[in-house]
Parts: sequence; C-alpha cells; structure tokens
Amino acid sequence: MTESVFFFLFSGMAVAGVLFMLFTRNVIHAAYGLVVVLLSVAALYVLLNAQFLAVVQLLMYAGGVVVLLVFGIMLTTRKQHGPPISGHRMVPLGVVAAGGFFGILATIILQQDFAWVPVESAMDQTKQIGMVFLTDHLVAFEFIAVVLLATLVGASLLAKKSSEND
Amino acid sequence: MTSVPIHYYLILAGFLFSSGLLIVLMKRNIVFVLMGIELMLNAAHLNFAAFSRFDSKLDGQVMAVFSVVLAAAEAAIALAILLNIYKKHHTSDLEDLKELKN
Repeated sequence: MTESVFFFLFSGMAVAGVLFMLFTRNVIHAAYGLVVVLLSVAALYVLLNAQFLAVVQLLMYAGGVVVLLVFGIMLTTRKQHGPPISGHRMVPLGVVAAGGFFGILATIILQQDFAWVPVESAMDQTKQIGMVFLTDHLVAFEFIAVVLLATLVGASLLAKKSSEND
Repeated sequence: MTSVPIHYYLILAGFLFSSGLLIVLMKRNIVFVLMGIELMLNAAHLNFAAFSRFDSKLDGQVMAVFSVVLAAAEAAIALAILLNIYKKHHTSDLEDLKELKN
C-alpha cells in the first residue's frame, strides 16, 4: 500500500520534470527539470530495493553528469545574447515518432504477463554486489576501468588540442 | 507488502525513453540533446533495476552500474567535443552546424 503511494508520488514527479523539460526553451531550466527526474528515479530505485544503485545514481548523475551539462551550457553561452534559449525543430515528426514508439512499447508491455515472484532482498546487498563485481563480472569490471582511463585521457587530449589551435 | 506491478515501472521507463527520444529529435541546442540521451539511458537503468527485483543474483543492478559508468564517460567526451565545436563555429545550435551537408 505505502509502496504504491510512493511509486505514484515519485513517478508523478518524474513525469512532471520530463514534461517541463519538453516544454521549456531555456536550457538551464531544462537542467533543473533533469535534476528532478534523476532524483525521482533514485527514489524509485529505493522502492525497487536497489539501494546501491540509488546511491550511485545520486553520486554519478545528480552530482557528476548534471554538473558537466551545466558546465557545457555555461561555456557555450555568450552573455550579451541573454539566457541560453533552444529553439525547436521537426516538432510534428518528433511527436509522431516518439508518441508512436511509446504507444508500441505500452501495448507490448501491457500484453505481457510477468507472473514472477519478487525475490526477498538480502540485507547485505552492497557486499553482495561487491562480491559479484570481483567474481562473476571480473572481466567486465577490469574492462570498464580501462574504458574510464581511456575516456579521461581522450577528454583531456581533446581539450588540450582545442586550446593549442588558437 | 503488496508490491507495485512491474508493468508500471516498465511503462514509466517507456515514457522516459520516448520523451528522451522526442527531446533528441526536437531540440536545437546540443546540451539539450545530451540531456535527452541521459534521459533515455536512465529509462534503461530503471528497466534493469525493475527486472533485477526478480533475480537473486543482482545481475541487473550490476549491469545498471556498468551502464551508469559508461553514461558518465559519454557525457565527459561529449562535453569535450562540444567545446571544440563551439570554439570553431561559435554556436551550439544544431541547425547552424551543417558543414557536413552537401
């Protein structure tokens, strides 16, 4: 009972944030809407017994990606042009494509019958995830470390190149 | 505890994904398009978490964590590329960036 109350509260918040992002033209305001969506999705992770994922969501998205995006907005806006306004393009085509896609998805989802039983969540879920990282998914774990290193080197290289060309 | 059916989570994730798609198609600012991509990735993570509830091995959550890391890497690289584009063309409007056309 309480779970459904909180589900509808947080999914309502997420939908409101998304609709605000769709209708606003100011890019900074859209970033605020994105923060609302990300926080509500983190709350939904807690409802789904994925506490570790919720904390990762808060740290990486609300703390990292949004800051990067706001950085991007501020670095690509000129003061004399006023607030960063984004126009719209291909609106009818986009609405038809996205609406049709959502219609197809919803129809398919509602036709499915997921008659499974939720697993009781373990108390030491984070410990369990750590164990899985270093046993079953060790190769992927090491690989993602290499990917992160390559990303850092690549990003700094790209930034360095652009400053040298001036 | 009566739990919310998984369909609700999947429908919500579908809505988030479609809205992200609409933002990517519709908005003209590059940073706005990046936000749409983040929304679509978040919808995928929500699906992983929802299905992971039926799995005692937590593979869905592990996959979602990997995907979050990749999303952060994507955002960092995209920002670096965006700064290069802005330095060269002095615009972040996709309609003005038609150098590859023709």
